[in-house]
Amino acid sequence: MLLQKNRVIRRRAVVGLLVAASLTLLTMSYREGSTGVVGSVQDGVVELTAPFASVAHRVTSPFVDGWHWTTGLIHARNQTAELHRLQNRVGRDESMIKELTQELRTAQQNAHWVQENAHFKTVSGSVIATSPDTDTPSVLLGIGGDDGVELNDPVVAPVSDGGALVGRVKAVTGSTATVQVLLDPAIGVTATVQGEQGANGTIVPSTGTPGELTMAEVPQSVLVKNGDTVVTSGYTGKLGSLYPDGIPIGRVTYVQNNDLGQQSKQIQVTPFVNFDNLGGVVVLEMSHGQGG
Amino acid sequence: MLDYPKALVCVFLLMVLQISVTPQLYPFGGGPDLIAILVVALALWRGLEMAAVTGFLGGLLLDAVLYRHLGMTSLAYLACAWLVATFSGRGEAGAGMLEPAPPRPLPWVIAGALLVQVGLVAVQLLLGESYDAGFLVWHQIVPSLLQTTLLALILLPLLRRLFRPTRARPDVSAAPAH
Repeated sequence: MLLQKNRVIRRRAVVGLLVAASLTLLTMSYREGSTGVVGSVQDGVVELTAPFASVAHRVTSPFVDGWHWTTGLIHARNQTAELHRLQNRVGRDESMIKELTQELRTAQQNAHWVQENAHFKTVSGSVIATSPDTDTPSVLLGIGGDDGVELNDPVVAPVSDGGALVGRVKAVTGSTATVQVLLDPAIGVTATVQGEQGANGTIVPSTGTPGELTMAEVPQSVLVKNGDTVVTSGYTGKLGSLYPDGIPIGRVTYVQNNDLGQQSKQIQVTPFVNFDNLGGVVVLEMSHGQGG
Repeated sequence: MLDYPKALVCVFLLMVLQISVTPQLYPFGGGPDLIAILVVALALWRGLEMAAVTGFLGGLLLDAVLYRHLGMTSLAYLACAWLVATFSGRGEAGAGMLEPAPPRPLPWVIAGALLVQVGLVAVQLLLGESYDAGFLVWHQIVPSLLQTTLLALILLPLLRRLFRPTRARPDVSAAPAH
């Protein structure tokens, strides 16, 4: 019992002495900094341990290098994966930027066309679907009766130097409108060659060349050249029309005028509108009596 | 009898490893605390006295080599030794004495390493040094605890071979009567 008590006292004394020594050293170290006795002790310990530390460093270097190689490899793999992820993201962003830029350009062209044709009451919209039926091609717009679109309203699309005719509205719901495009054989738009008196005819899809138009029933007597611009002829004249006059349709690319005995000639017209890549369009609200 | 020399050799070797090897593996601070593992192991298997002496010397060596205030780390290790020995029921026990079997060391290593880290921060704050608390916790204390725990899994079996825990004597008073 006494022995155990002595041991307890001794342990407590040892711990107390060590705590006191620590506090004394701490105080001295705090006062002296790295000079005096404390600095000498530190220098001595460093000198004593330096060779061992050097040996330990050399012995463990291969393992440390192996560790660094392994962690570096993992890091490199992670970086590669991250790089691939970033590349994909950049690709998606780039694609989105292109798409947005295209939409912005289209919207700007729309706005420009609307501004220049302020006498029309218009509503702008986007093509949300294209009919896969090649016999009766049409496009679906994301605007409809709720936006003021009505049956037979003409539809134009902005092109580089203004707007050009796309077709007419052939069906309307509250939120969508189906547009019969110029490539539909049933459309029949009355047109004229700009600057040529009496060069009137009807625009229909070209039967031999997909994507091209034919201007039929043009009198043989008028002079039409390649490069002439074909526009809608409007309401006046013997051929009535749903479309106001002067809306560009396309450019003359071929004139067939050497068939003797025929009353009219045929003209091949390349449309200004690219029907494969229609984005934004403008609907002219003609049924409201705003036409020019 | 050879426990003290073995402890001294261990504390020196572990200190050398701690200052020369672990900074290469963990260059951004928060390396493992090998001395804390030794101090906790000794507190559990050899009692308070040896753990306190080992912790004091280990702390002194570390402070000297790292040019810190002498005695700062010693105080933290002394506190660690005292708390582990006391709360694990090994405070006043010794070899051959009637005592319970030593507890599993790993949880005590984690608690002891945490205590050392917190103690060091407390002493440094008392000395007027200021730290960003978030940085201290997430870049110093938590990484150090994790690495100490991982290395304790390797180091504790080796230390157990050197300092085999004293076995508890059977409690004769609890034996059934015939």
